[in-house]
Amino acid sequence: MEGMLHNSYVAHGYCLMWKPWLVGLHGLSDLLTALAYFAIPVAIFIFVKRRGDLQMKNLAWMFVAFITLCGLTHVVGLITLWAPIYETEGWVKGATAIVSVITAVAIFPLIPKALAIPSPSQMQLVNDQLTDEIAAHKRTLADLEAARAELERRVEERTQALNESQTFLKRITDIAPTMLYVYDIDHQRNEWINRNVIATLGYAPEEIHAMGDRMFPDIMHPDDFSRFKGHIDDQKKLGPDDTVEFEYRLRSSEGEWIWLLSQEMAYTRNGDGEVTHIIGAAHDITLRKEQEERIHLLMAEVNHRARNLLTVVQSVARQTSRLSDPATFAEDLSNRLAGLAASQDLIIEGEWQGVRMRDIVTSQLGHLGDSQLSRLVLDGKPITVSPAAAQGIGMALHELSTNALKYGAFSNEIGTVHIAWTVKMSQESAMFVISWQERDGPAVSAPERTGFGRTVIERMAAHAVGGVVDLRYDPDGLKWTLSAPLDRVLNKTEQAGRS
Amino acid sequence: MGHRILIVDDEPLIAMEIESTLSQAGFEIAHMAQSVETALAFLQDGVALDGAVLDANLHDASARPVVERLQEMGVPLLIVSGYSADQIGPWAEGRKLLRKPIVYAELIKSLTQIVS
Repeated sequence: MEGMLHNSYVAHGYCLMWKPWLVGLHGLSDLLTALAYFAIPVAIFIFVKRRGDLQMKNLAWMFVAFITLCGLTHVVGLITLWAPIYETEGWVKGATAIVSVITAVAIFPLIPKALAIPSPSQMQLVNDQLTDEIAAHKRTLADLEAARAELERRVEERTQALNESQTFLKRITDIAPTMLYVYDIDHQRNEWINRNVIATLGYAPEEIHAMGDRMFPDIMHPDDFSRFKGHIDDQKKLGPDDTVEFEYRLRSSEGEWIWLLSQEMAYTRNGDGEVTHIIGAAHDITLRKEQEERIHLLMAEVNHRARNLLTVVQSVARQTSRLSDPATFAEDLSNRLAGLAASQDLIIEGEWQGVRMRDIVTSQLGHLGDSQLSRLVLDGKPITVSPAAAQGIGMALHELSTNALKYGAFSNEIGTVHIAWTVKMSQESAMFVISWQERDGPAVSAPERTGFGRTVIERMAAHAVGGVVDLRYDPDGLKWTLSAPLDRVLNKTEQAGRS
Repeated sequence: MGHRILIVDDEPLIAMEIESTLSQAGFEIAHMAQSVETALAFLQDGVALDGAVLDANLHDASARPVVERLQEMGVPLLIVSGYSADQIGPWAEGRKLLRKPIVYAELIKSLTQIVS
C-alpha cells in the first residue's frame, strides 16, 4: 500500500474504499472494455487492409485511433485503481477527446458520401439489373451470331452460285468450237482468250501474251491489216446491240494463213460512251475460203474446157462443111458430135484422169446395128489412156466405123472387123499399137478425095498421141494401124507409176 | 511466098482447123506441134519462122517456155486460149490474146498485123 501512496494523490481504489467487489467491478470492466476497444481497431485494420477499394480509409484510421485511445483511457483507469496517475490519465483523456472531437467533426461531412455507398439491397437490385442486362446482351449476341451464321450461309450460297456460273462459263468457252476473246481497243491487246485461240493458232498462251499489242501487226496478213484500222473505228462506234464483222487472215505458229470471220459486240465503254473493250467470236473459215477458191478455180476450169470443147466443135463443123452439101453436112456433123459427146462422157466418168480402152471402143461403135456388132472382134488387154488420147482415138474409131458402114466390111452381110490393141517394145521404148482390120467386105479402093473422115483417121489421131498412122487399102480389106509412144497414150497416174 | 507460121495446140482438131484456115488465107504452115517439148524441138536456131499461133496450155503444162523461146528468137506470136489473160498468169500479160472459140477472121487479121 505504501507504494500506492508515493505521491500526493490517492489511488482510485481508495475512493472505493478498497471494497473488493467494487474495485473488482471497476477493474474487470475497465479491463474488458480496454480489451474490446483494442480488439475493435484490429478488426477495422484487417477489414481496411482486406478491402483495398474502401473509399473512407482516413475515417477508418481515425476510428482506429479514437477507439484505441478510448481503450487506453480504460487501461489508465484500471491502473488508477491502484496507482494515482491522474495526470497521465488526464493527458490520455485529453488526447482521446481531441481525436474523438476530430472524428465527430469529420464524420458529418462524410454522411452524404457514406450514404452514396450502396447498400447490399441496392447492390442486389443493381446486381439483378446487371444480370438482366447481361442476359439481354447474351440474347443479342446469340441473335447476332445467328445473323452472322445466316450471312455466312448466304455468302457460301452466293459463292457456290458464283463458282457454278464461272464453271458454267468456263466449260462453255472451253468447248466452243470457235475463238472467243475480249479485246482492249485502246491498248490493242487481248485481255482474255479461250482455249480455242491457242488450239487454232498454235501459239502458247505466254507467246500470245508476249506479243502484246504487236500481235495483229505481226501475225495478221498485211492486206488485211491495212483494213484493220477501219475496223477498229467501227468497233469504237458499236451500239449496245450492234455487231460488227471482219474477215482476215492470221499466221499460225506453223506459218500457215488461217482465214477468220470475227463477229464482235461492245463490252465496256469510257465516259464519252466510246467502246473501250469488245467481246468477239472468230470462226475458222479457212476450209470455206479454200472451197470457195477451189470452186472459183473449178468454174474457171469448166469455162475453159467448155470453150475448148466449143472450139473442137467449131473445128469439126468447119472441116465437115468443106467439100459437102448442106444435107450431108448436117448429118455428118450430128454423128461426129454424138461421137465426141460419147468420148466426153467417158472422160467425165473417169474424172479427167483416164479412160479404159475397151470403153472407148464400145462407146464409139454403139451406133452400129446388131448384125455389125456380131461381126466385130475386140482383142486387147485392159489399159487406161489419157483423156486426150481417148478423144483422138475415139474420133478415129468413129470415122472408121462410119466409113465401114458406108463402103467397107460393115456395108455387106459377111464382112468382119477386128480391133486389137497392145503394148510392144520397139527400139528400147514401149509403144502403144491399135489396129482396125477389115475383112470380107466389098472390093477396096483408095478414095479419090481427102475428106474430114480421112483427115481424122490419118492425121488427127496421130497428132493426138504423137504417133504414126499406117493406112492401107488392101484388096481384102482396109487396115488402119496407129503406133504411139506409150507414155503419150497413158494417163498420168499410170505414167507416174511406171517412171 | 506466104509467111511461115508455127501452130502449137494440144487439141489436134483445133490445130488442124487453124492450119486449114491459115493455109487458105495464104500463110505457109512451117510446123504443127502438140506439146512444149515438140515445139521447143522445132525451134532450133536458124529455123525460118515469121510468126506463131499457140495455145496457152499444152497437156496441162504452161506454154510459157515456148513463148519465151519465140520472144528470144524475135518471132511475133498470138496466144489462143479458152482462158482469160488473168487466168493464164502474169507471163501472158501484154501479149496478144485471142479467146477460144476462135473468130477466124480476127485470127487472120491479127496474124497479118503482127507478121508484117
